[in-house]
Amino acid sequence: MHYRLFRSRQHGFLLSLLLLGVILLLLAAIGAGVYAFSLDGEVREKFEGKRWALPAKVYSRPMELYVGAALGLSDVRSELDILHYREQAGAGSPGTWSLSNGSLLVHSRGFDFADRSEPSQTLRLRFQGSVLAELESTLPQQSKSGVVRLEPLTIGSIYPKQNEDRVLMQLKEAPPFLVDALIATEDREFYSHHGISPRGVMRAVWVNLTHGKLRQGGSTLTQQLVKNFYLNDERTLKRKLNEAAMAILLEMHYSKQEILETYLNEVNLGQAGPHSVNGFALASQYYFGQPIGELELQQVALLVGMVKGPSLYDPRRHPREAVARRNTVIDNLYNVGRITLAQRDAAEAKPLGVISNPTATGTLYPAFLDVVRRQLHKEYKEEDLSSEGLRIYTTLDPRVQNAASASMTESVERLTRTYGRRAAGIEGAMLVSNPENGELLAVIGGTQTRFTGFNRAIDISRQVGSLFKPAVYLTALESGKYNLATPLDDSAVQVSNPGGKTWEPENYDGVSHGSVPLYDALAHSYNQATVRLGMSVGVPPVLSTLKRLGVSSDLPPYPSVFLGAATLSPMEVMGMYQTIAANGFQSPLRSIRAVVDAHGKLLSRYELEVKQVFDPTPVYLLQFALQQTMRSGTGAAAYERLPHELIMAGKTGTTNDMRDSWFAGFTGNYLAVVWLGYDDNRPTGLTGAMGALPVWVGTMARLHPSSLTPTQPENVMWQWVDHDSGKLSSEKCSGALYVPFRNDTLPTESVACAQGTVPAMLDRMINKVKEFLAPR
Amino acid sequence: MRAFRWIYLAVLLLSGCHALAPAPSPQKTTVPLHKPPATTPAPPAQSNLKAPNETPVTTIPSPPLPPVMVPQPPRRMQDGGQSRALQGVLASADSDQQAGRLDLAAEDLERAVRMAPQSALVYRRLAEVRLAQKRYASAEQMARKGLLFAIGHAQQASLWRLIGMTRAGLNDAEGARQAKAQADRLVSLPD
Repeated sequence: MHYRLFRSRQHGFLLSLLLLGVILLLLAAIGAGVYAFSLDGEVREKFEGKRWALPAKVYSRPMELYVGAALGLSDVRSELDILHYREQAGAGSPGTWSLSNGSLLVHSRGFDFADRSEPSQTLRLRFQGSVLAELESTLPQQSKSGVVRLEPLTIGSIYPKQNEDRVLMQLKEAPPFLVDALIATEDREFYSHHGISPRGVMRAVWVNLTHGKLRQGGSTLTQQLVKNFYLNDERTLKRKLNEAAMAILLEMHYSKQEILETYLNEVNLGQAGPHSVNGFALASQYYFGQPIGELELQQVALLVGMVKGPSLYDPRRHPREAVARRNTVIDNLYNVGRITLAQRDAAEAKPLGVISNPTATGTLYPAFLDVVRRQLHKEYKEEDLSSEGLRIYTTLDPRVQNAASASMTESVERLTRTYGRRAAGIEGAMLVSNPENGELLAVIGGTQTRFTGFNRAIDISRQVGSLFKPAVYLTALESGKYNLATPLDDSAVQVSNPGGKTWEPENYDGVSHGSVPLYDALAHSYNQATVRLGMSVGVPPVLSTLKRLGVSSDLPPYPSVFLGAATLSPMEVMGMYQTIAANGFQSPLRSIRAVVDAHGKLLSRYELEVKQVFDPTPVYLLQFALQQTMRSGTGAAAYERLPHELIMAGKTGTTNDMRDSWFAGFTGNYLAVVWLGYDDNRPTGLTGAMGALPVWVGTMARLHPSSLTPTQPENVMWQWVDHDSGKLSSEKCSGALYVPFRNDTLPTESVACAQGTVPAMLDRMINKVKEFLAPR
Repeated sequence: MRAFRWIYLAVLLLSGCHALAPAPSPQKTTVPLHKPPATTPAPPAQSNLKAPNETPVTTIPSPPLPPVMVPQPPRRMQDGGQSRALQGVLASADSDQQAGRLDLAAEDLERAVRMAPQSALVYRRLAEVRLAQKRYASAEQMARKGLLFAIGHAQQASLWRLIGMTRAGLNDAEGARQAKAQADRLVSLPD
């Protein structure tokens, strides 16, 4: 007997259809499961592991405070302004200062340096003129040495290829109102939904319809976070469904806290040139110059408002829209009961308060950052530099940099006013360093504010002209055949070249000055006397001197090298003058002090190195001559703006047809090199004294340069000598000069000017008269 | 008496500029009152000049005099003086070095260089740290820089002794011996 399995044909058909349906559903379920599994994998991968490529952060040098530091009230106040500290009576919170009863109170923010942590503390500073006289701290035991460091300025970042920038923050660092404002504005159901929120979508639609404007977002924070993980902004249905699925998966794996923290660090809040501003901590630096923890209600509200549209609500480009959006967020906070009416009104009345010159994204000191980057590339690969969250501590001094920039701008404006269209397009470069240790304090790569990548401080190679003269004189002084008072002949000179042609260099003023003391020929930069001197000591010794001074470029082995017929970059010129300023000791120019990894471990230190390349004595003598350049020579205009008591040394440089205007000079604490010229090498019409010198002087006038204090070597003796003959004289004689000598080059003859001269007799008589007429 | 007074006053007036001339001071040149009788300058140079021409003397030649010891310019140095902060930083460097944290000691000392750029003591300490790091060539250069700022023979001697140790580290026995000899010589000199 058979069973009839199916009653009828229709039943059979329906059942097979059912079976087919079940099988298909199973397959679909398996398919969906597999797909979900792969999505899940993608979510985990994006969320975990190396979540972000952290750019390297670059810091300026920290200001070091200690009793006796050469810092006046205005210096510290400048630094505080640069760090965006706010004035607040009593300086009760980090990032504030207050002036009372002649004391400056500073509540520092603290900073985690590579070697030691500097905690946030309140400091009381008292000044005596330009010296920090008293320093007290609420945490005196923290500093073993009595030196307190303010935090460094973040001057930029080295970006990963995606050009994203961020500063990481933890959830607990969020200021009050940040999380509340975010939730009230973007995702009210955040703590209760599981990734997507149908209620949220519906409410958003309702609110937006009734209020006619975009008050609330429809997608959850989780969905927005997922959206951010994707590189492009595809808005297809497929993408939206994927995002929704991933949001749910994300919530399954991670806690609300983790998702929120990631969101705070991920969300895009603007664009700084080619670099995107990601995360609230970086946005806080970029818009307000302050760490995220310091932000007040209205500042927080602005940033939260920008989540919806960072360019639409950009406070710098669309301030009105930004304020309106900010106030909407403040309203949201009030509507959910997180702030009082009074708080709302107070916050909405506040101005935007956005800073105009952000440094956090590296737009303010591009030339210096360029120098740093090039130095780093010698040792680090690009990927490591831009993704491992390295911290780079540099030598930049923001006050010096700002002074140099201001001076350069002032000079360019003055030149434009004086010469009109002829001065259009004038370019320049400047470097400032610490003469004793080679630390670079400031770099300027051009006269225009927009940096195009062409860094004239390093990338140009220009004729140096008179800047090489000190090498000729140094060679002469080292030889023992000359001293500073040796009379040199500045009359017309002819030099035959090997090719048979003659070279007749002329003085700049076209005049021959006869017999001049050696130091004076350098101070006035006389070409004729210098060439004669150079011919006397010989080209090879001068070339050797230049090499020892650190000039590594190709040098022409001809007498034209005496007058600087060679091309160097401003950086190379600085290296040469560094050795002169440091008494014959070469120190490599450094822009970086240390590189530390994201966990605080020291990776590299760029240490002080010195190498003696000259005996100090001839360099000491050369420095005397370079001081006379400022007192009575081509640099004398400096004393029109700088104090008479300031002892400084320098050399002007003017090249053929005035295509280059140079000045290299140093005080006790600053060495600076300035170049002005045109990129296309056309004549500027400016000598070193007319073009570059004012930029140098303007920089020093804005800082506190200390006098040069040259250390007199043991085998140097100062003597009175006769100006014209270089022979021994005495203090009371006319034409007598007080000049240093190396012992073995002291003049042995003296001029006939001793006690019996007319001026000396008169002197005695006058003293007698004074005695006679003195009140009894 | 009165007549004398007027004569003296007349003389005073005549030489008024001289009395008002700025007093000669270091590193400045005195303003010549009268140019002494012109000494004939050297004849114009020919091509391929070799040696500088001596300026012929037309005044009465005096016998060569030994240089008179004139007052030297006062010595001013940025060596930190008695700064307690500097002493604190040096003490910090000491304790770091004793604890074997040579990198940190070097950092402290580089801070000290910024605070007192012309201190022989700071460079001597830097040389000692380099010595401890077995960076002998670098240590000698630090010591040489210290010599630049050393005051007194005792300081110089201690730096030469350090140089002796750095050369020994480089197996330069002769150089080490010379440095030590220099140190001994300096110690025996009055300060």
